[in-house]
Amino acid sequence: MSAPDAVAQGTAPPEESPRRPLRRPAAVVLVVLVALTGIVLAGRLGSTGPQDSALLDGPAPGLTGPTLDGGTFELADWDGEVVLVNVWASWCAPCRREQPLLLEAHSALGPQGLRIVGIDVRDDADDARAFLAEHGGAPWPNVVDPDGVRAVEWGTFALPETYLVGRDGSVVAKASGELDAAWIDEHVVPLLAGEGAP
Amino acid sequence: MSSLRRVAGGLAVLAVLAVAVLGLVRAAGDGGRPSLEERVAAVAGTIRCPTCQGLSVEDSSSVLAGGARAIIERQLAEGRTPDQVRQYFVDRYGEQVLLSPDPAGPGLVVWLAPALGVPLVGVLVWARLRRSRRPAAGAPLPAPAAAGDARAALADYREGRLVPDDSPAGDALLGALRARQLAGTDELVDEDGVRRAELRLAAAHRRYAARLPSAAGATGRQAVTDGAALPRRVLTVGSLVLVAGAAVVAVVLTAGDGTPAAAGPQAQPEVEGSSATGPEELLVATQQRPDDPAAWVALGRAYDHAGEYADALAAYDRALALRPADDVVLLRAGLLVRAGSPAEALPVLAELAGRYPDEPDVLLLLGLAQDRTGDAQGATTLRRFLELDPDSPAAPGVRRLLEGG
Repeated sequence: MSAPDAVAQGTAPPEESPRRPLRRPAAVVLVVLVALTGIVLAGRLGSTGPQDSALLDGPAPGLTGPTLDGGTFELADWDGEVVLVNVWASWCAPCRREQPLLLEAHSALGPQGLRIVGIDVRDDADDARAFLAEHGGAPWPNVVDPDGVRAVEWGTFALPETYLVGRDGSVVAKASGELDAAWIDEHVVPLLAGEGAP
Repeated sequence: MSSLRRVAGGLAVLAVLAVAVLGLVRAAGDGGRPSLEERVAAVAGTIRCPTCQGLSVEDSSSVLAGGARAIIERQLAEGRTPDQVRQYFVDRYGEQVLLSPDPAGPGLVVWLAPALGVPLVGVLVWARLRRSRRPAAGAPLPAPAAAGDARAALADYREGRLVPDDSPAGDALLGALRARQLAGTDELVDEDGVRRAELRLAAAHRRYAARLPSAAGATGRQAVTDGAALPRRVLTVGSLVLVAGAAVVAVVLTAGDGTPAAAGPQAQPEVEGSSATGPEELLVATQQRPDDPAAWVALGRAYDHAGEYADALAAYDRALALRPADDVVLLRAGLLVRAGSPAEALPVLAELAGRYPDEPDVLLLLGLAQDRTGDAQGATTLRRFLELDPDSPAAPGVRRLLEGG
């Protein structure tokens, strides 16, 4: 339809051309705004999965409280040692699978100074003890965390997670999900050998 | 007269805007002294649940959300500010644990978009209104004058005295001239179409003429139009400034003090640790949300803990009237047993036990009620309870009761 036709029928806006100069920058601004918003939101969406801890290289949170065997644990008592903090629960299947590796690490690296402590999250104490007994018992303390407060204190996203605390008391590494031997070789062994110490 | 009316209209618009801004500020503000529970809910609503996508700690029932809520409650009770609590989570989980973007980072764009967008759209609307109003303001000319204008312009055009240049206004005038010609040559003369085309042509011609310094008459008319538009323009700009101000205030308030407008109105009175909140605060909560059964249950529990059985019973009854629920029925029955009216609780408990034969809590209360009303079934029921939940905190007491009886 040509312009005069449209005007004759009284349907087309009468001053199409004068409006154009304003409309174009406005459209550009709108598109840029939408694009920027999209980029920001997409960036945030992409980063929601379990990931590196914000605690890395910072001081480790405290850990103190009653243990499954009826005692009391205080992480500060292990100052200056290399500590693996393992967050687990008896109802968590990967926790069950990684337990033998933890036991192995304890017997192999314990003599070199590796300490292990568990945080048993939202668990039934009997289930937890049965879980440990299945694997012949855990030769390390397990702090009970009935409401998940201690796990959140350590920045846990999902179970299991394992944090490596260096001799200087900082969080050196974090493993999300089931532990594997490679992670221990890569992070724990050098730290024990002194390479990771400041 | 008309200027008086305009001033009155302007005042009315300003008043409406002022009320709207005040309402916005009030809604975004904290609306009095919120209870600890409401503050916990407000902060929990801004923190992403660690184990689930997109849900806030307030809305999630996942494994770690409960721990996060407990931490929020503890820290607020210790007197930390909502921002300090949020920082605690950011320190552990990183920036992305916050559901609402931190205005300090790239999230600023998200906050600024509405603040910029509202004035921008306002300016566009204003510019458009102004443009369409200008001819309209000059248009009180009666139609015959417009028709005369149009005819004169058409005649000038036909005789070559009017040659529109190729400016936008010239284009528009040329289009209008051609449209008028077309409308006139139509075999079936559409009078309405001709009149419209003439109006359009008159308007286009005025606008075209107004651009030329020589067209003194048209310029004069334009000046009058501008003068008339001035108060209206002041009003429009004033409104825009107000709206923009309101947007900024809202952004600052929401970003600043942790009472986001988006935080759901339902606090969760049943979250763990609510017994730390006194009945007075919970009573306020029930007054604020008299139709929320959860608020009444929380109040009932608080009274129950405080040993005020009659008040607790009334609160439970209120909750049940709003929404029948077995767990509240059980709470109420437990209260009756403890308050010394086991006989009253007995039929309800027997009915519950019929439906939940393996639920230790039901069996414990039923057993106790039976025992206290002298029913020999009590011992059997309590033994069944011990079988099902031997580690219950109540178990030692029940064993003593069974041995003693």
